[in-house]
Amino acid sequence: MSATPVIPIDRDRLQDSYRVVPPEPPTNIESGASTWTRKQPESVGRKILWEELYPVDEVADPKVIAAQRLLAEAIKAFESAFKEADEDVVAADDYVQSAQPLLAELFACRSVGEGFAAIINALSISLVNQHGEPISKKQIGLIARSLRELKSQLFLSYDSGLRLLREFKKSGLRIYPEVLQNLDLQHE
Amino acid sequence: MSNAFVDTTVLTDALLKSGPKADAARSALTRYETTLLPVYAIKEFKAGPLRYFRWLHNKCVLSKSFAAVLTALHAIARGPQRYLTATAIEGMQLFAAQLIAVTPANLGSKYGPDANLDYVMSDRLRLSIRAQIDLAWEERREITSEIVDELECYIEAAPYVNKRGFIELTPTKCEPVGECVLAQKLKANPDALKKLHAAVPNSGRAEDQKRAQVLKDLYRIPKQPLTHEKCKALGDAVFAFFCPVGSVILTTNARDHKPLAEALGKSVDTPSESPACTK
Repeated sequence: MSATPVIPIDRDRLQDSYRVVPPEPPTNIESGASTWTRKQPESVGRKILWEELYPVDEVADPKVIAAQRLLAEAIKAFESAFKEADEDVVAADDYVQSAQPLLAELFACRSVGEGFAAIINALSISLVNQHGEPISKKQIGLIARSLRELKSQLFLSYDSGLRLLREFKKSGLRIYPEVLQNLDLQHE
Repeated sequence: MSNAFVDTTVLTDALLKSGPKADAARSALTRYETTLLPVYAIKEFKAGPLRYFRWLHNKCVLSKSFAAVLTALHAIARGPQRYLTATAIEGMQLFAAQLIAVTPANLGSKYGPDANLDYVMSDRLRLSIRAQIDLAWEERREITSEIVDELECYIEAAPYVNKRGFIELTPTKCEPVGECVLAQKLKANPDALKKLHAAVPNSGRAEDQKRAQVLKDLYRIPKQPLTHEKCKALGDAVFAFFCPVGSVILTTNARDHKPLAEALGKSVDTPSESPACTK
């Protein structure tokens, strides 16, 4: 076995920029090993807005701009619905209904990414599957949170999208077209 | 009985269906202290129900047209499953109508071909099927308390999307090195194989005839290998054979399972749909 080169480390200097975090869960790497994460300056803690990262005049794809605008409107509708949900169920449902055409329009922007497409599609279908019955306050809150997450990570991966779909299912939203229940599922 | 040995039909209802059938399957699983899922059921699930979903998904990818998907469904509606397929076609039309109703009319001029309603509906279906396959696969080992009868020769690989956008389910077959692990266990109990063979109904159905022949071959010609086709033909007999004594086979297909299970002194239970939530 060849000897591993040893690089001398000035610990005092290093700890000024890095903090030591014990590995969790323990790994089978050598005992006493630690992971090193960069100590973040205070400015890094501030949330960077999408608009700062991608100014509108620099984003070439109009669908990305449209998706951001429509998501902002949809989030507003679901947040308003959430506020009304305890006091006025009709007003809350009215806000949810107003978001349905927005979701349909967002689906036209699905080329943004597969994670984006999967979430928007599941939400549109969930609302259609309600057949007019209002969704619960908990479900409204979950949708608002998910759309905020999507707005801040527009190019969300498909796998991350699946994680949200799982949450939708868990909350009782019926995210698949009902027609899929009528397919012949008899196994051979 | 406190243990259930779960078959492919219950796995399918719990993972791929929603509404009363899914509720019934999941609720039935909670009736037992221990629920056992043999890997053979996962194998059947992938090669059966998921294959149908894959076909429809790939049809959407290829045609990019909802009308073309409906035409394809019409084409297969001439087979023995025509009633179910006709219901599916009606459901598809309803699905499209409900979504079109909440879609603004002017999207085509704003967003181009991506907003074409025929393409939109086929893409919605594609995304839904893909999500359903992926989530069902993720949850397959979570719906029961235990996974039993692992198949060393079966690679339980997740479905994936290839570079052309098609869902691939391969491998769906075992790749045994030497004798199949199931075959070894089956051949070690020829008495049970004889009882199962005698219990296969003389129905005239091809499925029963094949099953009877494979069971007979297993005890009469034990040196003959159990091929993939033969293993597939065994189907329900595998559940009757491997269900542990003291457990019941939980299935929606009691008619086929019952004679086989009873031949080995075992019993069958079915999930019952609550009348309140049955359409």
